[in-house]
Amino acid sequence: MVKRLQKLVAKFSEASSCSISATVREDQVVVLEGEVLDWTTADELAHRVAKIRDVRNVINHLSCGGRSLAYIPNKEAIAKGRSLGVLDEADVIIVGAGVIGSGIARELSKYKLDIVVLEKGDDVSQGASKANNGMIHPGNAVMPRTLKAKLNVEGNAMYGDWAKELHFEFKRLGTFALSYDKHDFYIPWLVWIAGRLNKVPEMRFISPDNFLEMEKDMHTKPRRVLYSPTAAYVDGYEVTIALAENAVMNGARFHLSSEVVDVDVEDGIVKGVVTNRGLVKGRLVINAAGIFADEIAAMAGDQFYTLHPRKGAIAIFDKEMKGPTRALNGKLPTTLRNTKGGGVHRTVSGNPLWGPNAVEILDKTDHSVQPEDLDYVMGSGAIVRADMKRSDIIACFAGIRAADYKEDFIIERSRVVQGFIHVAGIQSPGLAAAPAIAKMVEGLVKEELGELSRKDDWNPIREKPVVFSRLSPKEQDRLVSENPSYGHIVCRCETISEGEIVDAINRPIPAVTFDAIKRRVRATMGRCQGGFCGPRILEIIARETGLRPEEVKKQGPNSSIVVGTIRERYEGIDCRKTEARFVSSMAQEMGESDESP
Amino acid sequence: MERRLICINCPRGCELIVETDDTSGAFISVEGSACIRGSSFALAEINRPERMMTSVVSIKGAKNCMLPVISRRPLPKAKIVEAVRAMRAITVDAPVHEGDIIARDIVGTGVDVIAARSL
Amino acid sequence: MRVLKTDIAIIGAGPAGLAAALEASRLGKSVTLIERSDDLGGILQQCIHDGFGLIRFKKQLSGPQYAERFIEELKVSDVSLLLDTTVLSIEDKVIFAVSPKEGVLTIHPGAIVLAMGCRERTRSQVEIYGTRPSGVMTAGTVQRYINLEGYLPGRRAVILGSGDIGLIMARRMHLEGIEVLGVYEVMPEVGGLARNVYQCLIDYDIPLHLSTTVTEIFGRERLEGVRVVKVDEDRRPIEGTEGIVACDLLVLSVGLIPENELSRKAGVCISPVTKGPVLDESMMTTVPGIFAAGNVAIVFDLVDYVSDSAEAAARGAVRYLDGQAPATAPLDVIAGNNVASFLPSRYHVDYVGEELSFFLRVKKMQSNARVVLKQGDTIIKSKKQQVVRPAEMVALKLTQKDLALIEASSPLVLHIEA
Repeated sequence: MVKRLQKLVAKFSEASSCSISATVREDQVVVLEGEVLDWTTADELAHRVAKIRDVRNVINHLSCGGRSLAYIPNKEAIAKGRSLGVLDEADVIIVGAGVIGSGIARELSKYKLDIVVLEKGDDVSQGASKANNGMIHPGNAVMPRTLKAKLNVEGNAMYGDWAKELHFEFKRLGTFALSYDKHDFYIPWLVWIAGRLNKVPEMRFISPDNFLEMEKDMHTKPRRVLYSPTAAYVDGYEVTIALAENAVMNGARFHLSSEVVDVDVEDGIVKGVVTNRGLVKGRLVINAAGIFADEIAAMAGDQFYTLHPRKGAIAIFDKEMKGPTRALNGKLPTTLRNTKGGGVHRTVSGNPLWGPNAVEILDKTDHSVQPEDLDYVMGSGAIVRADMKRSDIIACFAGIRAADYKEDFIIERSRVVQGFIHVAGIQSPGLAAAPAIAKMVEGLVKEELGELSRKDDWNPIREKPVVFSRLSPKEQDRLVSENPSYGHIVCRCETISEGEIVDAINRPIPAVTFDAIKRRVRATMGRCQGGFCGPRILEIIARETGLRPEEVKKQGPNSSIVVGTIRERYEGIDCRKTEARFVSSMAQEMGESDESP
Repeated sequence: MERRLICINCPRGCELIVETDDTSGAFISVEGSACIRGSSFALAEINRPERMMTSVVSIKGAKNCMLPVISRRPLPKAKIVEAVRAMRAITVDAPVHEGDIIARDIVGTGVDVIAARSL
Repeated sequence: MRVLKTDIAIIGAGPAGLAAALEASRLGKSVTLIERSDDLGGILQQCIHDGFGLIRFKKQLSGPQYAERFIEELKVSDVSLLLDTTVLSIEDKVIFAVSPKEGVLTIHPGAIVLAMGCRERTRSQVEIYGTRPSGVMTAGTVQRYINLEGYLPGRRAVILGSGDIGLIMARRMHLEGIEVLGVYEVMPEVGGLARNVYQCLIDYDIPLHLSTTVTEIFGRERLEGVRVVKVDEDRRPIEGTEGIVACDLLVLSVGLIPENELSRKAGVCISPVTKGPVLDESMMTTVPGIFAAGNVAIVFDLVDYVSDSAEAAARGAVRYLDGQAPATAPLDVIAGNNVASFLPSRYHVDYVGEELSFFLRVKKMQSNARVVLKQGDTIIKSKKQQVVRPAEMVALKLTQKDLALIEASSPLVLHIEA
């Protein structure tokens, strides 16, 4: 191993005329150090090293242009956090409120455990959980014999129950792998073979005509079609919220805007964490910090992997745009490789979604979308719909995959620190695997803490919030008579009422930012992108929370929507008394009835 | 000297070419106007440019918190910034009717500011 | 659920809806005016600047003043008003609407006038890359924040697009103490009216950068800056001309689109040219009894035309209810040389109304132009115009004598001759 490693490093050093050094730790973890001119070199080398037999994982401390992925403790923040005293105490501290952290919290909330979830963002689901294509993969696009493959297939099978209990939007529509000519004939076969090895159920080849029947907007007839009916679609953000809300209902405490800056370990035993808001004491820390999980591991003194941010841009189109409803896999250059590039399908709300692409970057917080990202996304979509233009995109965003160099999930108890569990490297298909990951972590927690006793009153059901636009006119009418604010439509693009926004603000995980409201009720997500409803939403948030208007944020502490007032503002008296002044008299004249026709 | 102006009296936006005296700067002639208003605009623009002032003031007890206002007639252009600034200090109580005087003789121009709507 | 009947239901109480309601009411029909907000006048209430109503009232009014003239008349009319009432859908000419006080309303009108106005194009419709921070908003939203809500949306602003709202807001922001760093326009000419460049930018020394655009947005949470770059004739960025402007507010004034969500739900055909419904000379859509008025039909440049078009739609609706709607198959109207969008797109030779205006917008500026309506080789009407610009709408007024020249034969062609 050492020999192969030295050879590889020498080759890369020479080829890129850089000085790179590699050391092998006792635990078979390779640490790369030195300077590279171009990040692609560092990325490729680290991946190659990770493939060497017996290498447990790779820590990449190579730097490029003065930047690197090495963890640097923020001494100032640590000192400040310590000085603030104790914020909370718990049995289990979960770091990160993405779909993984929230899923684990909800799973563990069955037991008589005091659970605290710490999230540095101002809402749950701030990382990869919100910026992905929402696909619950069947499990035939992952490398066989990996933990990823196992948990993907298991997780997929568990989603139906999650959806039933948590009431998030869930569509099990399946997916297709297609071939059109001799150049891509292998694609459906590759997917089929991987699927067989991974034990993906129900896969079958179907006739091209059958395919055209199922996807009415598709006009080119493929030669071969593999149908995987277990593929499903969700909104990752909605799943995360549902999990978090249910966890809160069952006693878990979520601290938002609470960033973990250090992990307290004494004599090899975890004692708690330091956050920007104070200390949180606890005997078990579960590291579900997404792309930052390697840093949390380093804080605990057990870093054995580097997470390298891999950015993916996604484009969303207007609902009116035609296109396939299920994900299509074909002629995509990245199939079955490290980076699962995305294709073309529809979100659960019906918007065509294209992408993501995959670009290795050095900045874990870089969510910018660049022209070349969309070149790829538009190019991959053009396979099925050549007439869609960039100007048809109503929104694009980028997510960061939290990949390690082994390109597999890392889910295990720390070998050096007692009371620390790694749940790291959760990239695609992490959303699909989430239920299985939560189950697996539950097992690890039992190993760590011993048998746990169940709560008698655990409630797995999280009720779905009211979605006014989906109700029948009769139901809408009844709802408005009970609570008139549902009759006040704030967002006209998506028909969202004031009542729904107020609900979102007052749910177990309060939505108090524009983006939090947007992702819960879809307000500002329509064609006008908040042009009409933005000012109204600002007013509602300020009214419900008591915040001043300039304190209402989009997302993040420095993201105020407005920066102040131009005049002294006096709140108006409610002048809506006269609004329907003619209705009653007119209705009588016209012979109204109170029954629907 | 020749000066080029754009008439702001209607959406047509005629480009006016004004000839002024080189030494005194006094108005001599104007070309390019499609109607009579163009020449009077040019004359005013050379001698004493004027603009309408529109802004908002705070209002108490109405369904809205801002009341739009407008000057009854144009103000000297140089006074516009000051006039808008003066509006910041004003708060009125509802009800207000369109045309009600909100401020008299704004910044010493002799022009009144009136409500642009009822609230 | 309350059920209402009315002769004419009008959706939207902006300038178009107000004018249509009053005209239909004057002609003796029962009218129900449905408005989603709690205020009348629509977008006019936030357009506090002057310059409205020159054609109609021979005065330069501010937006609220223009609206007030209609609102005063409405108060003494028989028009039934449904404020705070949002139309959810139109199915088979039955309107479903909801309001906090009334719950779900079912309205059965004899005819419908769609008067929802238009909406602004957003960031996603112009190619800007980068992050998604706060501080990026359309000119109309900035206008609402400042003029209606009294909020300060930022302190250092860059404006992308030189449409009229962008120019007006440049001045407005400047007067409210916001530093306006410049107006950037991707095209080689200004999008808005020349007088607005003069009185909004030149008056206050606000720089205008033509053939220059914003390509990238910086800032994780709040906007921190934008990348600007000069473009060539094909609107491609010119290398080496990039610069970064530090700002906390990017105001987009990149065009308007007719608002036709409901129109689509109601089943009317949308023209790919005007982006509004396919309309005949009475502003009737392809669904008999459903009419469109104002900016739903085509984005007008002057509110006076919006009111005119709305009154025409109301008269059309009244004729329809009175059984006087044309019975022949309509002729198509086609866009010829340098015509970007136009109205109407269909014409009935048995139209019995009074004089009729054709409206059009050109694709590019042209001097000494002749605006022509032709049928085959016959010139129905033509008009000389010193200059035509994309920013300005051209109206071609046809008298009954002119209309009599139109035969039930070939399509009509609108075009610009040199």
